[in-house]
Amino acid sequence: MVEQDAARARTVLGEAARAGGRTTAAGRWWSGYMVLMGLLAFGLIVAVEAFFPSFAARLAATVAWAMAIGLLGTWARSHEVQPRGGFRRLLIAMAAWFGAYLVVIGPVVRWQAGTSLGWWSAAGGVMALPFLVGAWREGRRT
Amino acid sequence: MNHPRHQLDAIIHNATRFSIMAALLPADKAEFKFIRDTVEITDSVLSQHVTALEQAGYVKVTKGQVGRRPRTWLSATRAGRAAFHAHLAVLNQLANWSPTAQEHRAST
Repeated sequence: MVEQDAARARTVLGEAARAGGRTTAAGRWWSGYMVLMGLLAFGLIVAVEAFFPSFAARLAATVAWAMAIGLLGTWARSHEVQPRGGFRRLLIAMAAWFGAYLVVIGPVVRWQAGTSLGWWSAAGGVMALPFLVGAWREGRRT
Repeated sequence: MNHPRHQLDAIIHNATRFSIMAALLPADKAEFKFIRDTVEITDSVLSQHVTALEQAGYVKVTKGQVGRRPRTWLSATRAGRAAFHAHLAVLNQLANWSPTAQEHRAST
């Protein structure tokens, strides 16, 4: 009886591990999503700060960015599995990116470098790091 | 009455329900048909188990739409996660349980 219980428990545990592993694997797309969000964040910063100085062009770039985010969101919702904590990590990355742009790195680069493409590319890369960190953490899930 | 078997959760003691919970744990939410394919059961059987888990407060069911396609999402609740982990601990105990080891533990 005891041995049967133990054998049955081991079978159930093995099956549960297989099911959990399949879900984890199905949620791996989220790291690619985070990388794409990071690229879009980088692209928006460089576009509005270095390429398009006029208000109308900045507005057009921002609208295009928002549309790309929307399309990416639709693609994200089409997946069968939303990995645990993925949305929370995305929100944290977006808050960190926007906060850095609005309050910390953005004003400093604007003041020191104006519309320099090199400076804004470097700053955009640094500000997109939270997305890459989120992607890396997602990729490490087992 | 000190056998770990007595501490098993009655709701997720069923192997299929335990697998459903195991499949839901690494996700914020997973689609009904993904869980169906993962656990390798039919729609109706999954429906029955999900209803039991939902009534126990272990699973939350959300219906939505992506494009034109209606979708049903399943997610494990906080209570469901806690129950799963407690059940998992007991199963691990069971898998390694032997009366002699138990006696040895009791004597030390």
